[in-house]
Amino acid sequence: MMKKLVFMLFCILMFPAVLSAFEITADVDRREIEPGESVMLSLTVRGGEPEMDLSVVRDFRVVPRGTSSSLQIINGEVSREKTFNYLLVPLKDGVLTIPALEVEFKGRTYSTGEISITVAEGAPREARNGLPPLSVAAALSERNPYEGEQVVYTFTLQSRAQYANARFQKPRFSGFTVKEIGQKEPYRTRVKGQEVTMTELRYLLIPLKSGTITIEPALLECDVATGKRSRRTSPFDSLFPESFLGRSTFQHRVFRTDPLTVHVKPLPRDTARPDFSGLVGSFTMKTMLERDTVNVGDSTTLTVTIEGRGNVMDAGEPTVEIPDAFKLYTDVPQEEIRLSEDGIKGSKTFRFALVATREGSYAIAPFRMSYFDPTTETCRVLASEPLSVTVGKAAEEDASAVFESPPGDEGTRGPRKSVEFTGRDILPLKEDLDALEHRRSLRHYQFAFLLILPCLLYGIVKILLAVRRKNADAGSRMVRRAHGALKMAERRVGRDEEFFSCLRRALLSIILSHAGLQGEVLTYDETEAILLGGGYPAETAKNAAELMKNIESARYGGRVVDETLKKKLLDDTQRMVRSLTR
Amino acid sequence: MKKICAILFVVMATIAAVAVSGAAERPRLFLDGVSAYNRGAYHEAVSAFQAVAGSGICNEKLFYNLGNACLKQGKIGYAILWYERAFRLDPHDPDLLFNLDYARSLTRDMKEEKVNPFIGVFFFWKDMLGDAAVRWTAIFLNLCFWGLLTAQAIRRKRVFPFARYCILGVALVFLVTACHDYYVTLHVKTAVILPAEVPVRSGLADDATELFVLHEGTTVGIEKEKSGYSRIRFSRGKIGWIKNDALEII
Repeated sequence: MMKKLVFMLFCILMFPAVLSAFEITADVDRREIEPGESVMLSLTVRGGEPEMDLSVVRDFRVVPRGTSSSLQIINGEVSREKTFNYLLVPLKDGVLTIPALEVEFKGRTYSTGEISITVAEGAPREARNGLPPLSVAAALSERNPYEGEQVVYTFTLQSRAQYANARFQKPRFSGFTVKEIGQKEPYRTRVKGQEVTMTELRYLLIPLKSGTITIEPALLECDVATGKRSRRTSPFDSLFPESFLGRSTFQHRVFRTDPLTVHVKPLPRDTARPDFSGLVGSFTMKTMLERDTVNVGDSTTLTVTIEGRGNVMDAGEPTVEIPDAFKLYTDVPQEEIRLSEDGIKGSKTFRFALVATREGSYAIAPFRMSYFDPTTETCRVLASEPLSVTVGKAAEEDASAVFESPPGDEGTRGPRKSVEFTGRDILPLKEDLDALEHRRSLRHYQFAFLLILPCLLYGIVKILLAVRRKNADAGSRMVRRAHGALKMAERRVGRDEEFFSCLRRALLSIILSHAGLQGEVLTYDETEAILLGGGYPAETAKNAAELMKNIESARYGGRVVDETLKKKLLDDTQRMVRSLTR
Repeated sequence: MKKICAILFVVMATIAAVAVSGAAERPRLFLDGVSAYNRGAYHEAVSAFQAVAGSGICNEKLFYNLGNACLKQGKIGYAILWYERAFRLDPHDPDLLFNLDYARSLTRDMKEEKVNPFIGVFFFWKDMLGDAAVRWTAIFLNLCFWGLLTAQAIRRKRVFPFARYCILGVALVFLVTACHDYYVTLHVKTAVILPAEVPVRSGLADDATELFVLHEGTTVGIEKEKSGYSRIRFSRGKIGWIKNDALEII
């Protein structure tokens, strides 16, 4: 039983995807809804996990609502099912369509059927019966703004019932730059004689181009308390409010605002002038020169600050004409932007460092910058005040003065402090031409090759050594055998049979080693031939053959061999083996 | 035959001349870029540096300069993109780290996923050495290990057995680190958001539901690409589709 279970589990884990055919179905929880209600779409997939794409659904706003999976084993067949849930919020009234949804899986295209949803026309049911428990609205501070003029979009939630799990989906605001101003503190007021809570969310919009733009509906999803759960009453009920006992029932609802149409007016023609800064709003300009008297080599900072209400962050750098006697260095502009309920307010500061190169008195010509004021619908000009700088001789003695330590006791300098940044900028360029050297990084295949290379070399060395040893082995093995047999013969002098056998093997082995052969038998002629072939003199070859003959006749002759002969044969064999060992 | 040789000679001479002129053009463009930057013409500087980078030069200092010029131009997204590219080539340049930190401080989206500090502790050599050093160390140690094995095979005697196993252990650590780096380089794509503001949508269409908004300079992971859109991952649970032209892969 246990084995079967383990086997089934193994099969489920190892082969989940291949056991069932692919299938996709679509279903909705309702086909007819009231305005303000939503539909839950469930896409059920069996036998795979394809990529879902609902971009073809145009009549509804699609809000993903998670997935769920299940595994079924029916008659030994395993099937996996996954359900993708989506909340569909209708974008208009009437008969709306969820088109056939296509998915690709393993090269084939599968599709669901088309589904029609009827959205009743007119106001929501609660609105028809009086003040609804929850309602939403959207408004704009200006329906006909100029291009670049800031507009405040306000989303208002009016509630007189409890709600929970609210989720707000703001419109896409296509055609605008958007900044969130934030949520205003909720406040209570009376509408149609009933007390309601108003919650407002605000966004700052800046139109990017002229023309008619439609802001699509904003959506609010939440669970709205609709009534009371039926339960038995008890004498203690009056002591606690309904909410405390949690007896309210909640219904999931989606509210949407009406779409808003904005007619963005183009900027008037006089904004085409060259000094137009692109600013729309109300602005002032301040200029300030740090020092109007400097020495050659010293610097002074010219600060230009543009301040006001509007798109101040878009202000371009003013064109400052500096006399030739100065070098101009531009700093990164600093912005101080505040987002208030009226829109963007703040300042943008441009700093120019002027380094004097020649003596004399110089005037910095006033520079101009124009902006469009939508309140007066005119183009206004900001002009700087005329500035003058007097440049004196370079002060050579300054250098020594700068590094003088201040007088007084060490203790009067005050406590040490951590060093903090007093300005913010980036470090300079790297101007060396080594910036043109191409950096080659090691590619993954090169890395793999360099890793494998030593391993391959090791393998080649091993193979070469093996081949070499194979060739050399027969000869060397026979040399080793010859020396071994000789040592054994020295120990077996008392036993004739073994002694002569060892002597014979020693001589035979050392001779065969020269032919690179192994063996046990050799004729006298072969003995001579091998040694002659090995480059030994004919006398040595003849002596070796003679020694072999003497050993064999002593071994197989059947006569008693005295110790002197044995000693002589041993000495001769030792000499011969030594002389034949290379 | 002579004609073919003559044609081949002309073609090769032309290719060589083009290559040489291209190589000679680069220093001029680079110095033009530096000069434009120093006089505040950042747009010109960006164009000049980009022309050099476009000619196939891959250099951390060039990318750093491009980052600087873009930042001065107010293009935070492009600045971070080039700084990140420079960082991949030289993660220890203090100027680069300073400017990259500065550029990141100008972005609007707060990074939601924090790097596990234990990873930095357990894999300290990775941050300390950089990718190239890790790779070459792995190659060197691997060479030492196989060299000792080869010496043992030739001498038919054990050669530094303890040292050999130690080298093998360290080599494996560096090898795994280098392989991980390669895997990340080849398969984990990271991109930088370029426009000031980009909606991240639930599907591959302009009218798909907007899930959240990202701003220029934010770094995101690319999970897949389809039909001109990329599925990005900003943090755990913040996933969606962005048009490909709104981001650039580092």
